[in-house]
Amino acid sequence: MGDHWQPRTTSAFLAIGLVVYLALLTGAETLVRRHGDANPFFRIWSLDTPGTGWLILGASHAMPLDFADTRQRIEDAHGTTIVNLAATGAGPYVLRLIGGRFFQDHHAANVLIVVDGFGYADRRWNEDRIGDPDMLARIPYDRRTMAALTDALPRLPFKTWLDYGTGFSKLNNPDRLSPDIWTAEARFDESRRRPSAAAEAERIDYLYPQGGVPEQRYLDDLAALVAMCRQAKARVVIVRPPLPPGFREKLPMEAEFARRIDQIATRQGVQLFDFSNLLPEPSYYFDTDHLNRSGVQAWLNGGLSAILSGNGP
Amino acid sequence: MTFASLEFWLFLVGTVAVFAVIPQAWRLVFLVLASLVHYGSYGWTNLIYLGFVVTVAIGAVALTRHADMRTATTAGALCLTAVLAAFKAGLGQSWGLSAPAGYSFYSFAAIAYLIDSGRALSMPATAPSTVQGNAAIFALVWFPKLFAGPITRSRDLAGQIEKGLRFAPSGLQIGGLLILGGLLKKLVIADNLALVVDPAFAIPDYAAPLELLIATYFFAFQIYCDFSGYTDLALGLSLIFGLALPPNFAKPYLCASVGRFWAECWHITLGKWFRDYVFIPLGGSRAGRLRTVVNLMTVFALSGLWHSGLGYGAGAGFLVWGLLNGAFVAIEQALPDAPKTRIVTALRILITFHLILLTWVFFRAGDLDDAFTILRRVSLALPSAPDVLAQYPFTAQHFIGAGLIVGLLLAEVITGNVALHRRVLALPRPARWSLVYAGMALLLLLGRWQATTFIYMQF
Repeated sequence: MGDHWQPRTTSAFLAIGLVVYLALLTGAETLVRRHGDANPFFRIWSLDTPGTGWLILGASHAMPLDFADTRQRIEDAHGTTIVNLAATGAGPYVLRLIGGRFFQDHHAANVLIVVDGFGYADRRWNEDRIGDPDMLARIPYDRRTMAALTDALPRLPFKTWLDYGTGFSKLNNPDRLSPDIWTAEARFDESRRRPSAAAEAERIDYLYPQGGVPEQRYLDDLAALVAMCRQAKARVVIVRPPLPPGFREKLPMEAEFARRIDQIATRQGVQLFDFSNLLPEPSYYFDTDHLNRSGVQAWLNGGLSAILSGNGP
Repeated sequence: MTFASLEFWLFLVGTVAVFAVIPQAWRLVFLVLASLVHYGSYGWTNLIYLGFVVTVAIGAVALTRHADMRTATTAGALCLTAVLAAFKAGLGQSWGLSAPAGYSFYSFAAIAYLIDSGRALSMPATAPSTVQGNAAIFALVWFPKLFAGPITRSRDLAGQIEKGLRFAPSGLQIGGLLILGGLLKKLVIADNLALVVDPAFAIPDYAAPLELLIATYFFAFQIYCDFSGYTDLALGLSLIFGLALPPNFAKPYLCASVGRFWAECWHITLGKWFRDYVFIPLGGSRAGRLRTVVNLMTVFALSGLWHSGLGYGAGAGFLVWGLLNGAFVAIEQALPDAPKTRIVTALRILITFHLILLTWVFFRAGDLDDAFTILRRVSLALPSAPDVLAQYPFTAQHFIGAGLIVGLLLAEVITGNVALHRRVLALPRPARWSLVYAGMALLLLLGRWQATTFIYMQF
């Protein structure tokens, strides 16, 4: 270049660079659409019917309801259809975004919201979760998703919005050639023999990096999510999933969380069912806190089936 | 804001934009302020220590109007050395003080300035006093090199500052190439190699011996690309603002002797610092063979101790690393000169690389026990390595790492004595642009951009 500015050369360089970038992005997007599966926004994008009997929203504790052939079996047993949009580490802010995107062009007769205390205590499971590379890398380009994320600014970090718009996480995804499946699903048929206190403590430290006080804004997100579902003419049921007793007893501020959720359910006029004490045996879990196949069946037998049939337990 | 963060690139674009349009006379002050903003983004308390170092350095020289130059600057140098040593020994932690990022590097630069001032060597004699003061401050706070060097002497910058800082197309072009190279080295090569290195070194008793061997080779290139990548970034960013910093690496794994490796090829500015402020004051190589060896071992022992607290464990492993390197250099100096044929040179390069590789085990391992465990397990497994190799469950990460290392070495061999970015600049435009686009594509596809830090920033 020497010491003279060359605007035309610079423009040509940038233009060709942009073409190269768009070509790479097209390839990345193709891979997202080919390998997508578990990401809730991908599921919404790939739905081939506008309506469903049940919409399930929650974090990883709700995902076993979709493992292997479980969802199909529940649908067959209850004569309904289910769309499970649970995602690992999804707090109420994330669920609100997912729910909002779903109801833009879909409808559900019923919504099951599976609530976990950790999701209400830290922005890591909320505003920051959407921006995690593993989440962003699997969200297909979609005009309505872009609109939903734009509406979520400025609470949604600008970097997240920019990342989605530029597709950076999709380009940079080291797992781009692998199907989008939560690896835990491979352990669905395992069961724990003995609870490990060390593993439980490590897991809880991970879920509650700052302690466990439920933050009001996340409780407000839950209330807003419930209101959104009811405005979409869906019946809403809130449930607390089964947890092993040793794990549950170590959770910080659980009593406070239970009280606040109960207040929201009462105020919103929705049913709340607490299954957290239902399944104490470690054999129902494949790790510190996730239900295995027999655990899911026991949960269904213990009251969830009645809810899905439209009755209470 | 690390170099891999969006915030940093937005900061850089803003800084360049303002720099390009403001009057020449304001540019230096503006860059100093920008440097403080950048360093402060890592924690405002960092600015307190930086302010302390700058105050001691500049203050000691300024006060020499009223006191003997040597006394004031020696006192200043000793003060900074004592604080540096205290941080290294972890004394600050008992008061809740953690060492600021990069404090070693700007402390070294300040100590160099003080000692040179005492010897009246800090500046070109003709430089006006304002330029001298400006260059001294700038050499300490300039943000691209603040965290991991190169350790810049204020006299290297004085001449450039006196001529004025220009925003020129050539600076942008060459600087851009260096930045791209630096990011490739760090985010693509070093951080991908770390995926194999870290798990193996974490469990030296249980990792497969072949995995430990692979991890050791990978670490040699991880640390090279991590550190030289940072240097390339520092040089490239500085060139954008019209500043040329001294190089810090010169294809070290193609060196044919351990002595030359440390003197001319690896962390060159630190080597020169130890030479000028430790080795030569101790007598250098002019006081007889035995004294030369003692001086050498002292320098390498201090260098080893300086590296402690890197996060791979404290103290003894680094001391052994330093002493081993010193021993290799001392032995080399006692050997007769080898013939300079191609085959002999190639052999010497291989031997030098493996001697350095041996010392890297002590550098990277958690402690001395781990280092000896690794060496013992690898050496016992070597005879059966060919059989194991055929059936070893290599992962994609192994192949990616090996491919990246081969690519890097090929690039360094092909470019010979010329720096890689200079070779790329000399290519015809289509080839040059193709390489740049390929580099950027690699960066996008393979770069590990999440929450990355540079190894040497922990000083």
